[in-house]
Amino acid sequence: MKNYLPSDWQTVTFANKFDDDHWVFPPIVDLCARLREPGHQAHGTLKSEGTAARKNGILHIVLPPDTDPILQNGSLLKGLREKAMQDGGVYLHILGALTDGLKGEQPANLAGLKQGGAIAVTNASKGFANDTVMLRTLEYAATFGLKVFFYPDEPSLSKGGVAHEGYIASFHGLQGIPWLAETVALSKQLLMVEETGISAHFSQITCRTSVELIRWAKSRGLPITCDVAMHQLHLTDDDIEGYDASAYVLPPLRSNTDQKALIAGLKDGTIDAICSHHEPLSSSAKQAPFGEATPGISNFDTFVALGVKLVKDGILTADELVAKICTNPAKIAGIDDYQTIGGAIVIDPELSWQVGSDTMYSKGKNTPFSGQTLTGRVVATTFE
Amino acid sequence: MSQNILTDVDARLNASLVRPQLNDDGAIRHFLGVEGLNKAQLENIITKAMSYFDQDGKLTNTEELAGRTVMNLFFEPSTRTRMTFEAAQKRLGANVLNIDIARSSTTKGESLRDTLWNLEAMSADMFVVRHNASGAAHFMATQVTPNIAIINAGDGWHAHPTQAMLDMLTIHREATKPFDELSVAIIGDIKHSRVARSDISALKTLGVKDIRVIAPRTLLPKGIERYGVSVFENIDEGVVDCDVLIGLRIQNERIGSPLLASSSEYFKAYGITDERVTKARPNALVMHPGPMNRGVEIASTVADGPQSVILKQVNNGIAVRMAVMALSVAGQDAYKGL
Repeated sequence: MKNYLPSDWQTVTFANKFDDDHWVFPPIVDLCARLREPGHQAHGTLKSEGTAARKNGILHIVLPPDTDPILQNGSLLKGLREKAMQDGGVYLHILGALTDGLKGEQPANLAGLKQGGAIAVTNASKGFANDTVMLRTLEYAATFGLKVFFYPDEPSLSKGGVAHEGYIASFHGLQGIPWLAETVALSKQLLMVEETGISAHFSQITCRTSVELIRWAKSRGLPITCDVAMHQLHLTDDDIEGYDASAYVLPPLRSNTDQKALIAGLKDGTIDAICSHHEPLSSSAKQAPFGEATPGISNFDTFVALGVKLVKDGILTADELVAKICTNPAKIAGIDDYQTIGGAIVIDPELSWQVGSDTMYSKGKNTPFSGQTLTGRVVATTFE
Repeated sequence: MSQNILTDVDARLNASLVRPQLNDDGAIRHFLGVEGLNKAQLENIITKAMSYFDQDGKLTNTEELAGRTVMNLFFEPSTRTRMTFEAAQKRLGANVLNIDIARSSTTKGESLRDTLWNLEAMSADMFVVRHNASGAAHFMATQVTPNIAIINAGDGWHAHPTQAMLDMLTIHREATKPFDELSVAIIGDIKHSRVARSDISALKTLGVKDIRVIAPRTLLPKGIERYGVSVFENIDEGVVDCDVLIGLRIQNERIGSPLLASSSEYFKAYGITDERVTKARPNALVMHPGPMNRGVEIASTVADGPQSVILKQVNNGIAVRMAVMALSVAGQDAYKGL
């Protein structure tokens, strides 16, 4: 086995014998996944998605608060974490709602959320009523030392859009989402981070200009990190060709130019982490014309194989992949006891498998990779 | 994963996007879009449509769809397209059912797929579909059983292929030059127009080399230059020496939005006026898919003038729709091995 555990990692042993081609990684920390519980169990549950995560080496999951009900009550968080461990065997790290009801009008009960164990707060992809609300809410979060997660999107620019604004969307007659929707929001958020001094993480950036803005902000010493969704590194808006609703995701798959910039940002350290942006859906959710289908890709099952592909394509070394999907996200999520509760996983980077409903653990089978043969899968963990 | 090989419109026209509409022999089975059909296939539609005119230029009747049940599913309001489809179906001898979608189960939350499956169970042979979602016709073609033909009567901003073909038939009948010698200008709301997309595809496939789109930047789709067209933001430059001027409807509800300042300013800047028509070739054709906003995108004197073929387009629409439906049924029969 090739050991890619950090040097200070606890000793781990595996009962099975693995040859030198196998990779030993720390467990994966996913900075954004929807498990659909509470509120949308038709698509997935803590049990189904937790189990799928664990089977695929993902032991820690950061959960945004846009569930039903919205996660804005600190006293509920402990119960949800315990249920995630009990039902699915995963550690849940919860983002509390930054504003009341995610409406962007006034701060949520941030002190209570911190007390309840929220690792950070966010307004998810919802906007703010105005810039003053945003500024004061961030100041309020800073009061409690809470980190803020941003999913940059300016709703007035993205409203109604279902695909990246460009030739592909035009050709298909689909309403586009300009990259400006992301970068206008990101620019404003970066300036407010600088003004308030708050720690911030930017999740699921998709555009070339976003990479440039993050790079600029880091050069100014802002306390920020960012991640990209794994599918953005492998798919572009070309993949919605023929109205393939399985590739309908928000934020949308961007252009080839954007994808190249994301990869460059990943290599040079501008992008700190790769998340799954897992969004399982029931089969009926995609059974509609493209723009009327529900956005989202089920990503837990393909996450490791797509990570292995980054290594095989020479984009990342295996050590860098460990940093992007294990150790860096652990730091970002503030998982201080990661090593103690971590364990390890074994990946067979040569194991070929066909993506399909019979090979996916997630309840959601909504993936544009369906039917494709991917290489690489988790074959053992120490935490099972 | 992305291959990124489909970088121009010609490659895309032949992409998998449209393959479902052809049977194994390359004949039309569904009519979802013009894209992906070759010149011979489009000419075949024109030839077939021409066959429905008698020596006096009047439409004839046939029995090509006798015993077939055609359901018109208009999820969006339409008068002209729906009536010409129905007229065409009756001239082909089909049993015609018009489904009142406004009162159907879709308004009660039933999914489009379930609606289709229920209508299928009523022994339909063909669905003629208009829907506000781009790609709806493609989606339906993947959902219905193989013995049902889908005819796209307009989907979202994407395609209006029978309108494009009736435009091609009109140009074929009325223009004094072959397609490959024509200069064609499409004027107006290109961005939201399914007609514009389908017209551009059809014109390109039939060999038109000089296709111009004329509109303010707010009404041009992103990447329009990759369609293989020339873009003009000044109509007075764009119409010079054109053989065909196709005006597009500006929806009144959009006027006043950030897309345009006002209908009067639009008419001043982009309206098809007598003066602008004189800048085109003598006897240039003036076309419009209707309904027209007189005094907004076209002057009444032009719409009713000697160069207007707008009412001929409507009549040609019946013949084209007869042709498309007859060819699709034949393609379906061949697909089923009948």
